[in-house]
Amino acid sequence: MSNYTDYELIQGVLAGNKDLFSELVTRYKNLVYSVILRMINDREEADDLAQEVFIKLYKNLDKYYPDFKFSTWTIRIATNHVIDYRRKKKQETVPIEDVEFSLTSEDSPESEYIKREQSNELKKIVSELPDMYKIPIVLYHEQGLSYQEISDIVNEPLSKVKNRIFRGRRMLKESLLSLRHKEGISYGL
Amino acid sequence: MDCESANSLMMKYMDGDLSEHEAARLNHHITECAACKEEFMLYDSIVKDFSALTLVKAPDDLESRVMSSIYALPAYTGQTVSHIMYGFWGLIAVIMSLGALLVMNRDYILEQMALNPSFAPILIFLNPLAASVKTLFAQTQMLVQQAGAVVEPGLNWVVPIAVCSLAVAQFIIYHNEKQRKEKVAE
Ligand SMILES: [Zn+2]
Repeated sequence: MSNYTDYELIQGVLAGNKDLFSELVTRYKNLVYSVILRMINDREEADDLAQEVFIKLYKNLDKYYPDFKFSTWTIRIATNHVIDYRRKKKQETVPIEDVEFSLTSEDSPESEYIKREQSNELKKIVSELPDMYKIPIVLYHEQGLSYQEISDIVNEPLSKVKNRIFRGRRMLKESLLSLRHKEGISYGL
Repeated sequence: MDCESANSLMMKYMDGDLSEHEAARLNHHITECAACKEEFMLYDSIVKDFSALTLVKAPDDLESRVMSSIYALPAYTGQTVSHIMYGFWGLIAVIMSLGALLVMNRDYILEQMALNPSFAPILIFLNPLAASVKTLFAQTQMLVQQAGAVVEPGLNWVVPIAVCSLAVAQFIIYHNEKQRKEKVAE
């Protein structure tokens, strides 16, 4: 099964062989999961979302055309899915009493765990970037994708993608600077 | 070198395609400009932190959970949705045109049916129907004539507008295609 190209596997699934889909999941689960985790910063939610993304991929598999690499199409669906998910989540407005409750429960073991996860400076400042900068930055610097691939994923012209990455780097630099000033770290400059 | 060109070299450094000559120039500027030096150190640590990030591993049971959901879904049959849709609309088109033929030739059909007494029970229903179709046609014709008086001057504009929009559409398609080719070339 691992000798097949992505496209051959997809043709097989479309011909009715569901088993072949598991090979596609194996190939792209780490990529999908890590992109989602960078966007959502919560392992449990990322886990559910990754599962939903693969089901969405299966349901839309007959709409995939090999103009793009399958990985490109996969990340595009994953990022759009997370954006939709967050938009819907925001619409479920939180009553004020609940806000207070969630503040007091912050020291639960679970949130301690999340805090430790985010302890890394970089993870923290990346998570604070707006999506339009975060997605290209993560895909370029963490996943090693090319400008062209990112342009296909976010469906924006190459020049715009480059600008966003440059802008995103500058934002990262600024927040890293202020973070380090806050922490009182001096570099003797 | 000014700070602005130093900055664009820093971007090239982050892209990993700084030439040796450019690296030397950037280095030289950094030794003289404290602001750019601080900036470069920050950018450098960002790049290094990114490469130090361990690859995130998806949970082990992700595949099995995905597959159990997918086994519950219908399998693809090798026939794409669009083929089914083509069949559906094809059938609709055939039915509609048969219907149109029957309505257009209704007088002749009714005459022929009247010759055969076994159609008499059906004709009791069909004759009033044909009559109402006739009045409907007459009414529609009248409406079209009335509307024609209003629409006709506007119609003069339709052809140039259609030609213009076709030209614009063609231009947009050509422009997009050109942009796409340029993107690939870059
Ligand atoms: Zn400078």
